[in-house]
Amino acid sequence: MGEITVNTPGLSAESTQASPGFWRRLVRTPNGFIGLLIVTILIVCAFGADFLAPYNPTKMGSGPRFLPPGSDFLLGTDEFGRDMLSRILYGSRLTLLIGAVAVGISLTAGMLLGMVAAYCRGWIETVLMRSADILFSFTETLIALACVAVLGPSLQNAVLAVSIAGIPFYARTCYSASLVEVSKPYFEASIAAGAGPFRMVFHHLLPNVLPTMIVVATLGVSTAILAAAGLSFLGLGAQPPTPEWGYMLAGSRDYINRAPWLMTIPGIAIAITVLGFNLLGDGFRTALDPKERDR
Amino acid sequence: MTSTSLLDVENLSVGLRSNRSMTTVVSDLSFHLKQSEILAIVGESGSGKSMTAKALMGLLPAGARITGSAQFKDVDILANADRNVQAIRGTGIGMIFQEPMSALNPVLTIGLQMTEALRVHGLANQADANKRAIEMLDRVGISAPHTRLGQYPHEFSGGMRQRVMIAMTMLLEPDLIIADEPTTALDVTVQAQILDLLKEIVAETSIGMLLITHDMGVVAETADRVLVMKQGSRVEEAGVRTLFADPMAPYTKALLAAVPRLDGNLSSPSEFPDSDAPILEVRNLEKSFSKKSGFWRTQATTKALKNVSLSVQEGETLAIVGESGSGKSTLARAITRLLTVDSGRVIVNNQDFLALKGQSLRKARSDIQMIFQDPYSSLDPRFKIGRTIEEPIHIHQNIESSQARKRVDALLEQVGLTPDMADRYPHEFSGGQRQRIAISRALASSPKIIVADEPTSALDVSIQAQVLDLLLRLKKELSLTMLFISHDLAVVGKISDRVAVMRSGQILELGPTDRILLDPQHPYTIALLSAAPSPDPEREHRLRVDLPHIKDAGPLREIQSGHWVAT
Amino acid sequence: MLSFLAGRLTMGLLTVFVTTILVTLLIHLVPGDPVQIMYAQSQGTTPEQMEEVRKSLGLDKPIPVQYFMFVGRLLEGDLGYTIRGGQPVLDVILQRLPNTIVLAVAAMAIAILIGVPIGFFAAYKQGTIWDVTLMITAIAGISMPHFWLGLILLFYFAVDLGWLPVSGGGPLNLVLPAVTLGLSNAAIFARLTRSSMIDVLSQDFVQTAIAKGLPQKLVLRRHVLRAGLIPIITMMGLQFAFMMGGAIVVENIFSWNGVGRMAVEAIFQRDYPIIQGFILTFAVVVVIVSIMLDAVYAFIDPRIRRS
Repeated sequence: MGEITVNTPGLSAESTQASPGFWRRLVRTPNGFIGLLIVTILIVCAFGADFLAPYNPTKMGSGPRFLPPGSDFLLGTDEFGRDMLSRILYGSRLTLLIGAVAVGISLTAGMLLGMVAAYCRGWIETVLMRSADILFSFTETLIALACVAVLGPSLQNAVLAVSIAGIPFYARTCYSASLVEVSKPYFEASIAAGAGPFRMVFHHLLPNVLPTMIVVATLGVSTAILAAAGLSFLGLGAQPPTPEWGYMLAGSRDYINRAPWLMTIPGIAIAITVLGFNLLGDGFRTALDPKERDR
Repeated sequence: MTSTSLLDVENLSVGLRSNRSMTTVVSDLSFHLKQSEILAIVGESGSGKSMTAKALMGLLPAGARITGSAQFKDVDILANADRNVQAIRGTGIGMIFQEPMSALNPVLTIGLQMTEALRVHGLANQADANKRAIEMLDRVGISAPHTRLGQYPHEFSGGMRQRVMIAMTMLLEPDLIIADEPTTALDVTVQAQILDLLKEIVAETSIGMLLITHDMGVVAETADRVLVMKQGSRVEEAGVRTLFADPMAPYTKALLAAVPRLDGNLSSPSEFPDSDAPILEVRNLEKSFSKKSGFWRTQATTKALKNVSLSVQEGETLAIVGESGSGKSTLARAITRLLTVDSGRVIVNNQDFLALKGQSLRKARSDIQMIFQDPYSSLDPRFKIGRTIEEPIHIHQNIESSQARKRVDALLEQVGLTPDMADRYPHEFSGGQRQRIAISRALASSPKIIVADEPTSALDVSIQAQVLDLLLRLKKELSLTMLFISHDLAVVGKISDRVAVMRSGQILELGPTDRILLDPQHPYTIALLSAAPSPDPEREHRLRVDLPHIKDAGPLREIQSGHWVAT
Repeated sequence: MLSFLAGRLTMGLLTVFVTTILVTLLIHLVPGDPVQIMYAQSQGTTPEQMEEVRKSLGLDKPIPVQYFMFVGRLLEGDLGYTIRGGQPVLDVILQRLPNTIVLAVAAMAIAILIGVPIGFFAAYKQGTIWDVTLMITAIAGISMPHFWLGLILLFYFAVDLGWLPVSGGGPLNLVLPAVTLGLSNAAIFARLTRSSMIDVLSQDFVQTAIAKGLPQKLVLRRHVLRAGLIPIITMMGLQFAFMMGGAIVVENIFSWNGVGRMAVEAIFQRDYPIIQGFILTFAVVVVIVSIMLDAVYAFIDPRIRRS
């Protein structure tokens, strides 16, 4: 994850619970509108792949090999005569699944660690956050690579690797967002009222850091998708004949002269997907940020 | 000394863009300022006083709409603003800002920041500029001025930075200075010094000054004429003596009435005989903070509490007074166990509060509740206020939700709100209302002791008066014991039975309110009282007393029944 | 300042220390018998030979003992031997490490030279069409998978136009990988710079500078730029680490002979000593670079230099 500008802990909760205006504000920002549009289309493709795809994505010889995009095969065919459109459609399902699962795992684990560290303070905080700092400085690519080295190349392992690699980032982000809340008087007032740890973390802390984390997680989906596609591109993720975009891209290298569309199409698919989540995350941030809202 | 008009503002209106619409923040404002005159623009938050200052300097955000005219030395600085304002900034009109901590660039030396404008305006070469900067630093009372030019802002204290700021502005020899809340961020003893300095400068150089402030005490001590503003419009304008003696507008009258006065009617302290069983007893509390640097190594330990002992009788209000860094808030948080002390004991209701753990601690907490300074962050923004108030009830009493709801309604009414407000979120309330909600939350668990940490400092003066009245009423009705933390002696005089004066983590003087305010014994208390601005221009200014340097005060000695002074 | 640097140094040493533990454990986390997996791809390895390897790797001893053996050998500069070819791992890494560092540094330079001015300009034009356009471009840049960008550049400039070599180790070969890695990070730098500068622009001291009558250019150059660049420097250490991570992928596209390409090959071949050596090297390089940058930061920021 190269992007650490997520300086969102300032997100004030005031703007976020009055949600009626939230979606309207979201679609009013250009980023939010385009992002939402792209992500919606992606979800439709992913769920509707069975109906939308004209061919079986893994069946060889659906058509001639290396057929350029045309009327029969809208996006052409690959080196085995498989229909590219069908492969891309089924690929979107995989891609969204990868993003959702990876972010789901690392977000949940990271938020728990971050909130616990901020709430408990003391040596628990030191140990947890220093470890997160150390792992974070290894970068996600390296951690993911190390995980794949241990587990062996496969799509499941790549997703697991990306999930594990993301934990330090979410832990750090959630920790700093939590620290802001923990130091506010309302938090101390509830402690002074006699509230226990469970109530403090799940009733007060969680709802207040959640908007920040939703923004971060949306942006994180793009990172996770990129990372998993990168692993597949290196051959460390999805294995043949899975219609995974990164893996498809890797295969296109050998035919770069003969069939450039094999390189262009999956690349565009990844870029648009990642762009969609980045824009949506950016739009969420703008829609949730009272300072931006007043513009 | 001539008294020609320096600045003539006619029909100034300022509109700011917010949410795609224009909000008028200043409307149709006219005023005049002569040489050697200090005109104070005074008002509560939202009065438009700061916007007026910013409009004159061309510092409003892009998209602001300004109409009207401002003749400064025969030039209308609002017409053709880009060029005209640029020409008068610095050399014509200088500006001093509120926050000395952030008004200087942290990564550039004081010397560069002081001299750069002289250089840019072509008023001096570097050597000459340095010489003049050193002279000016000397003038504003910075010690060893010739060694200062190479230093950075973080090496100066807040008061010193404000002096540097003043020196920097004066160096350009402006004809007019706009001071926007120049002492609001400073402690009262430092504020007195800065105000004296500003007055001296105006007297010496015959420049004019526009003083923007919310503090009637500052106005009375400093200004020649006063313009009172409310919601962007002028309420009243008069000479300072006339205004304080005979205010015309009802708003001004109300404003002046709301200002707490040191010499005004003090709360008549009730007598609380030293019983053997005080409801709250603090014994030998010690707390030090260590600034972490590097990994595990700690260094620069500061002692926030040094052997603090005190006791509070049931029904009594004890005020803890001190400036920033005195340890008063640390004491409040130590007593409520929001932080852990190094040693010492806090005994609440004959129970060793600091020794409690887990469930029994949580139970005991219901006896001692806290009210915080900032009304905006002291309520969980995601809880409807009914839920916030209900929380302590929910935790401590096993009662049905319909009954809890009834209790919430009663609590809301008790603090002057209505039950239907329970379903709203905190952001739908004003600052004063939120503080009322915070008070009702503190009362929800039927505590015996309330610790109020600067509960009115973030509020406008008229709201402050209302909240203080509410606290006084509740204290009487519920016979509450209260620990009232404040930096403002006048506020303390209104509400407390006894006062403890703190500095550098120690109690320096402790006694009945009237004795402390009228007959202070410790040099620091005397200095603190003499520095507090008084909202009465007729009054002879108290003698400024230089702050005595105290490293470690001795133990408290009883000089009279109940009046203790550190040796 | 010394205590600040001492703190950073401690943190760096701790990072390396934790890495040595993780690296030792790595081989034990492998499901199944690591030695068998390692030799699964080469035929004709007898059980005796495998036992020998197990002994030489110390896998027959308890884990703490293995750890101290590993660290002991490490201190002597011995990272073990590759499974394939039996060369010293340290030699293999040191031979390729300069290539990776050259690539990362070149990419970093490109990213800073493009990203920082764009971010500064966008902050200055905040809210205008310039700002919006540049920032949407930056989001698009961040969204571009760098392995795809690499392929496109490779296709046009090397294959189609033939201006630059497809692969190899010369200075001309550096251009495409460095541009690939640099461009995607330039977008990140642009966003970092913009938010840092906008932060500074809203500070009181900028108003002070304007109120003094300084011309706008001087306010921007002296007051805004200097204060705004300091946070960027503090982020650069982390960015360098990301650059090293990105190099792993980019090296594979352009067959650039660095440690990243070596590592991916090692993963395919299950050559664990190389993987261990690679992770350790990566950590050491990242730690050294960030300590160097911390020193720069401590020197530039007077709040730290003079404390």
